[in-house]
Amino acid sequence: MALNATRTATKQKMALEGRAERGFALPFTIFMVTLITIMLAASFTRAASEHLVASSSNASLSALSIAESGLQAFFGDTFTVRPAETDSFRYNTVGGYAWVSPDIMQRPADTLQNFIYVVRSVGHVIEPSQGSVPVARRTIAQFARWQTGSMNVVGAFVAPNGVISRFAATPPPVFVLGNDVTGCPAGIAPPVWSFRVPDADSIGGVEVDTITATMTLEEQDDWPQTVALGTGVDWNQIVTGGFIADYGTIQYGDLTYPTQLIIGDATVNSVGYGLLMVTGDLTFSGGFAQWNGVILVGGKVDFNASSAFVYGTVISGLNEQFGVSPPASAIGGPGFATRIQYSSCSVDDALRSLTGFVPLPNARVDNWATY
Amino acid sequence: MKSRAGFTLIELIVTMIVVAVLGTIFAQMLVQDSRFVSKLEAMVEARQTARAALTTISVETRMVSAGGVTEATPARVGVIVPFAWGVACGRDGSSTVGSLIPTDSMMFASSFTNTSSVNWINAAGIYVSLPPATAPVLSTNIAACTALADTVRALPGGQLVAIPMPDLMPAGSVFYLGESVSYEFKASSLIPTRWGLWRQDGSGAWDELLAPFDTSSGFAYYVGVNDTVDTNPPALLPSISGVELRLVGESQLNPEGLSAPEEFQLETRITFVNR
Repeated sequence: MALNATRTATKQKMALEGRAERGFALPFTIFMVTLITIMLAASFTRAASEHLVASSSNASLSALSIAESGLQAFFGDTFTVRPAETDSFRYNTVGGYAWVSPDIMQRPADTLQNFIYVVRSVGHVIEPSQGSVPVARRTIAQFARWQTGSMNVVGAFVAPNGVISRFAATPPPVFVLGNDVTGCPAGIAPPVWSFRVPDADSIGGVEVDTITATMTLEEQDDWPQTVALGTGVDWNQIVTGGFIADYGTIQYGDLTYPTQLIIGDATVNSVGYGLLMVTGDLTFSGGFAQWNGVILVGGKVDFNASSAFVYGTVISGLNEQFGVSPPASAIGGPGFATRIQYSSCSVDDALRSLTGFVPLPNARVDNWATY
Repeated sequence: MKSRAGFTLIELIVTMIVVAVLGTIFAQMLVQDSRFVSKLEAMVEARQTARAALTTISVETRMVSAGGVTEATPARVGVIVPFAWGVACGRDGSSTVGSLIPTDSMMFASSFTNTSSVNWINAAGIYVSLPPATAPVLSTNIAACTALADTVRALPGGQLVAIPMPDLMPAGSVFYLGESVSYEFKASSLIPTRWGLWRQDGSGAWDELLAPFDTSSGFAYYVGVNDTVDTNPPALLPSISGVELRLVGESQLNPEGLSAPEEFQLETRITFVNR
C-alpha cells in the first residue's frame, strides 16, 4: 500500500509539472506564429497586387514598343515586288512579336502607278511563364504609298536644253543609241529615241545640230519647259530636299547602284553606277569615264573625256521645268570618243532602291482602341 | 512543493515581462506598419491619379496634327483629336464620301456628332482643315469609291462615311475626322477645396475626369524644333509642336500621422506625331 501511495503521489507530481510547462510556451508560440503568418500573407498579397498592376502597365507599354518595332522593320525591308494583299509579316523582337499587314486603300487604274496602303502593326507581348498567349496587344497603323521605282524612258539622251553635237568626221567615233543593250536578264526592251529635244525650228531654242546615220532624233514639237516636264521627273521634289539620297558625292565602283545627289556642279572621271542627280552642270572628263544607270542633270552635260560611256539614260536641262534655260549640252568633238546607249537593265538597277513602301508624312494612327 | 511553486511565480513574472516588452514592440510595429501602409496606399492613390491622367491625355494629344492646338494656357489646352482615318472617294450630292479604316464602333457612335473638322493632307504633306457643314453620317454609297479611275476600297470592318462639305477634298486624299477636346485643371467638384482634371468634348458640358491634383499641375509647350519648354504658349498656336504634361497627383486623404496628402509628380513630353 505504501508503495502504491508513493507511485500515485509521483504520478500526480509529474502531471502537475507537465501542465505547468505546457501552459505558457505553446499557446504563446502558436499565437505569435499565427500573427506573423497573417502579416506575411497580407504583405505578400499587397506586393503581388502591386506587381500585377505594374506588370499590366509595363506590358501595355511593351506592346506599343513592339508594334512600333514591327512597323519600322516593315518599312525598312526591301520589297522588289508589291506584296499580295493577303500577306502579313511577322517580326520577332525581344519580349514578343509584331504582325504587320499592308491593306490596299487605293488601287490605281495604272498598276505601275502608286498604290495607297494602310499598314497596321499589332504588337504582342509574350510572357514565357504564361505560355504562348499574349499578355498584351497594341495596334498602330501608318498610311503608306507603294512606289514602283520605274521611269518612262523616252530617249537615250533627253535634252530639253538642246544638244550641240560636235561630231568629228574621223574617229574617235560618237554613238548615241536608242536600242537596248543585249544581255539584260529581263530581255531586250523596245528601242527609244537616241535624242529627244524640243523642236528648235518652230519653237526656238537649241536642238541637236547634226546626227549620224546610226542615230535617231525626235524633235518634240513643244517648248523646252514642256519637254522637261514630259520626262515625268519631279525635279522640284529632288532639288528642294524631297528626295533623300544615299550619298551627297559621286561614288565610283559601287555595284549596289546607290542614289547620289550632288548639289551644284559635278565631274565624272571614273566608272560609276546608280542614280546620279546633279543640280548644276555635269562634265565627263579625264581619260576614261563611264556611268551605268540614270543621270538627271539640272544644267548641261558636257562629254569632255577621251572616252565617255553611259549605259542607261541621260536627261539634262531639267531646270527648264522652272522656266530656267541652261546652256545646251555638248557631245563629241576632236579627241572625245563618246557612247551613250539605252540600257533597260541599268535603268532598272538604278531605280530598284526606289521600289517599295514609303510612309506618307503625317498619316500615323496609334490611338485605336481596336483594329 | 513550495519551492517549486515559487519558481513558477518567478517564471510567470519573467514571462509577463517578456510578453509586455514583446507586446510593446509589437504594438509599435503595428502602428508603424499601419502608418507605412497608409502612406503606401496614399502613394499608390496619388500615382494612380497621375498615371490615369497621363494615359487619358497622351492617347488623345499624341495624334494631334499641324494646326491642331486650338487654345493653350498654363492650366488649359484645347486640341483637335483625330478619331477616324480614311481615304477620300468621290461625291454624293453635297457630301464627300470617305472610306474609313476599321476601328471601334463605339468610337464612331460617340464621336460622329462631335466632329469639328475634316482634315486632309495636301500635295505638300500639310493638313488642310475644314469644319463640316453638319455632322458626318455613315454611308452605303460604295459606288462613289469604286467609280473612280483609281479605285478606293472599303476595308473589311471599315466604314463608309458621307461628310457634308464643299467639293474641296481631292479623291485619294488621306484624311481624318477630328473632334475638339479641351483639358483643364481647375477646382474639383468631386473633392471640394482640391483641384481636378476636367475634359470637354466640343462645346459640351465639362466633365471631371480625375481628382485630386496639386495646384502646380498644368501644361507647358514646345515650339517648333526647340527642346525648350515654356508654360507661356506662343502667340502663334500652330507653331506648338508638343506639350509637356505636368501632373502632380495627390492622395485623397492625408496619410496617418502626416498633415499633408501624399504627392506623385509625373512630367511627360508629348510630341505631336502628325506634323
